[in-house]
Amino acid sequence: MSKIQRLLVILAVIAVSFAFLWPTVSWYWLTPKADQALAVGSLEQIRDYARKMAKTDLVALEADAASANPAPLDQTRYATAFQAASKAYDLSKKAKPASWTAKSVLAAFDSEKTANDSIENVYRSKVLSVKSRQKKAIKLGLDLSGGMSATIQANLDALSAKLGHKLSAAERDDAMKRAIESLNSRIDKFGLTEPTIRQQGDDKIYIEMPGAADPTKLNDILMGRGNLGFYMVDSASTSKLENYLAQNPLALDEKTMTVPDKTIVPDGFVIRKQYKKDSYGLDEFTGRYMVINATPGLDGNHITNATTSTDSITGQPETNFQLDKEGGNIFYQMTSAHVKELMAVVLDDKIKAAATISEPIRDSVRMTGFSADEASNLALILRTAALPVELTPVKSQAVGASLGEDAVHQGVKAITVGFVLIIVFMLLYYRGAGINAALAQIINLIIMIGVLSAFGLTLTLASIAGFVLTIGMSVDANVLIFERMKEELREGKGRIAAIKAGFNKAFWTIMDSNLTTLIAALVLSQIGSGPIQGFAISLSIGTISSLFTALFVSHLVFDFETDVLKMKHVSISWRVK
Amino acid sequence: MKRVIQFDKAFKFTVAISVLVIAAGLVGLGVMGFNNGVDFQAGLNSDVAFVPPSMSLTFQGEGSMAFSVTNDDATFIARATTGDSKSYTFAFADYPTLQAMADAFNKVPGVSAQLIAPGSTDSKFLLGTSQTDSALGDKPAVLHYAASGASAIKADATAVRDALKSFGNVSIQHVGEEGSTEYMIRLQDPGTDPEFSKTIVPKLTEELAKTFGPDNVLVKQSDFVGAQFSRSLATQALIAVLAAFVGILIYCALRFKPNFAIGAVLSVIHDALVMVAFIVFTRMEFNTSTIAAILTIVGYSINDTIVIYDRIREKIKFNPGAPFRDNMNRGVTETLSRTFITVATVLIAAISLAVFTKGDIHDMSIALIVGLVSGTYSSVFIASAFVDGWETLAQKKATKRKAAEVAAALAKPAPAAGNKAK
Repeated sequence: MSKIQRLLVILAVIAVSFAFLWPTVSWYWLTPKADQALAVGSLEQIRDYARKMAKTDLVALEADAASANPAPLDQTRYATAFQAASKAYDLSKKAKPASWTAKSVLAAFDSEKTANDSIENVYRSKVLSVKSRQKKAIKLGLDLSGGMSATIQANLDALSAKLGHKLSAAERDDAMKRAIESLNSRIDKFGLTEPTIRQQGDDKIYIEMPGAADPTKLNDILMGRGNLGFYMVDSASTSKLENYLAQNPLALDEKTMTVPDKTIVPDGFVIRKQYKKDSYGLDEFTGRYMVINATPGLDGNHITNATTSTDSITGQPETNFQLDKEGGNIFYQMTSAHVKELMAVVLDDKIKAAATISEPIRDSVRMTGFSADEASNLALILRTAALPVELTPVKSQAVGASLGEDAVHQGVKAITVGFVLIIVFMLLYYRGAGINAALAQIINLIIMIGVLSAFGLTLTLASIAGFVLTIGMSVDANVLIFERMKEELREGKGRIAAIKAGFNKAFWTIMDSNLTTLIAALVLSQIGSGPIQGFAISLSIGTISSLFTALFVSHLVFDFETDVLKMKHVSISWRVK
Repeated sequence: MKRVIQFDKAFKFTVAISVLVIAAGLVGLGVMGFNNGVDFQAGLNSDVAFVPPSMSLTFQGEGSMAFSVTNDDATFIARATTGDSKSYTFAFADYPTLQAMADAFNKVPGVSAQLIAPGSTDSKFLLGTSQTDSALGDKPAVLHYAASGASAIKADATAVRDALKSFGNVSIQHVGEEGSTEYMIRLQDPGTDPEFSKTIVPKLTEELAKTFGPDNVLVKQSDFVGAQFSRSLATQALIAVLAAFVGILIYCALRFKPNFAIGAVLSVIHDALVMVAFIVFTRMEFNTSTIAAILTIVGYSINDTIVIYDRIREKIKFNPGAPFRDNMNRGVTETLSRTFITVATVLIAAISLAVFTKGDIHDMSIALIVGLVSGTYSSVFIASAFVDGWETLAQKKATKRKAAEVAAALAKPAPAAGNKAK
């Protein structure tokens, strides 16, 4: 390869590393705190935010338009609405108005609904683009960011003992799904940051809540079983509420679930939101509110089992569940009194499903009118009450944010000082050639961090330590080459011959030593877990990138000095000239 | 030509010393065991500071308000009912006293701050609530401050121990600068109470609050590890290391000779065991960071050994007739400057880690420094010594065999000797 080609390869590698680094830089340093706070919320919170903002804007714009106000609108206040409107003008190829008024903004859209949807979309995509930046940025481990994590063991043996037989693979799977479902509904979705819940291994669940470092919170999440119940829906009040919220989109206080107008919800009734599963299996607010009885008509404890099936005639999916004898009696009374009324299935204050009672039912219940997915989700929810899974934390960690901040400071200091000292040492010991080594190390650092962000790895204090050491170790390849060159120079060889021989002779030594280190690192990363794995991965990345910088980058710098700067000697030592 | 150092002369001595150190370490391990960290011993580790309250914050109004304190500033993030966010940051540099801070907090819409500590206190001593990113509400959230002198909470290790008497096996360790009232409290899980993992955290805070007052306890960090988890981590680490050894063994056997491979793995095991001896005798906490340190040294030591082997192999190629010992001494001598420079750069990194970090990572760096010295030493005095011993033995056997053959050839009639010559 010619020098230009080699330079291009190096520049390309650096450019790619920077491209991977960019989201990290822009998220941690260029995103305002308020935007960060919005973006770390759950998708549900973001959707909620966009919907409410759009509704508020629209109500204000319509009021302004109705008053026929000719004055141009405040561009910063309605920035999002403007953006949506000018996009709509562009799409319909209409000429944009000379001066923007509330009327001309609204005129961009066919209907109120499209206006609402378009503005909502702009709001949402703005936050989502910040969120995607966060997703691509290097994540900080809990020891650096502060927060709480826990590994929770599902006690499947206890369940097996209760059922009186060994659990099949499908039953174990179902039990884990139920456990995750119950955690999902109990974790505070309105906390500041979106929690992580995922299954780990066969019978464990990992949860992580960045930011909130109150270890007592974990017990609230784990203690007790989910609160499942069947509630009667007050349809008249529900439609009253819907009308009211259409007029006053922000009237509902999410914390207390009340509206200022006390005439809407009768005494003994409460407002609840209806949810469905999104494509990720997470709870998603449907946008529907219902007014339901404050006390359950039937408690979920009475459920003994729940399954799904398809109707043999219509092919419709249906959810079936059985109640114990007492439950059957209560349910019969309840359903007899409320035929043709809506009944809601509520888990931990969230309406998971609603169905109309067609006739009085006793202990064997059939619910229809769902898609196959909805039916099996509903069965799962009903089973969380019938067959609760006992959960015990096997490991939990809570780190205060200030402690995490200290750790970041320490890590950054150690990296900076270690790196600078190594470079100074190389410059002092190897003089001119030290510049090559320094350049190689700087590029090495950029590549290492770039790859780290590309893999979406989590940075912990242990992995920072791994990096500091890897920098120290990756200098070794440079040292091997330089020492070889010195030997060649001592034997009286000239610059070009010494450089060539130095690289050639050191090549296999470098390969052998780095490959053995890499083998060790790769084995560890496959078998180890958690901190061991993170450490092994940073060691592997460092080893590979130091191979590249020592053999490729540093060689090019030597050739550049020979051919372009016309150097005749090698400045590599205080003794060898 | 540089003078060749006769390394082999020291081998008997160094091997004896290494064996002694390792044997002592293993005996120590057998007698005392590791000072197991929370990763390997079921129980709860809590970092608790006893600090007086500085002010209480309440929030009343629409939406929600979150509050956090860092080393430089305090931040409020307001979220309106629409979900629209706004943040207010107050740097300690701009509001030098707690009074100034409280006044500034009171200007945030909906927030009211009630000063508890003397208003003239330097604001940089402000600490958050134990619930760091706390959502504020009607219930006052208590902030703390790092008090000194008369206003500091009287909480020495004995007082903390007395407060936790009911827990049985408790270990209390002072954290931070002298005079601070921060402790690492370790409670072992006796394994008798199945509800231990769920109830221990609130129980601990409750007991401490009883003695020191509920507003004077700040839990900075807490780690709980259950028995099953700690066991699985230990076995997993061991399996990982053994598998790494096998990988190294195979690669070295392919690239070098089998005796080189065994020597390399022996030297790596040597380093791991020297570190174990160090960890056992200094009573350093044995946790995942220490395991990571041992793994790093496994990686480093193998690298160092291979470089030296490579040079010895090259010497043998150029000088096939010379005794192995001469080639080895020459190879080790020639790579000596590289050995020193490389270990120096890694030591720079490890020392800077040791100087600038605290806690686990600091311990890990100290273990690394020991391991680095051992890894460098073992490449010469264990790995090369092993191959030297092997080759010398083989050469001796070969000479003996040759001598025997010669003797046999002399004793037997001529035709047999002639056959051999073919």
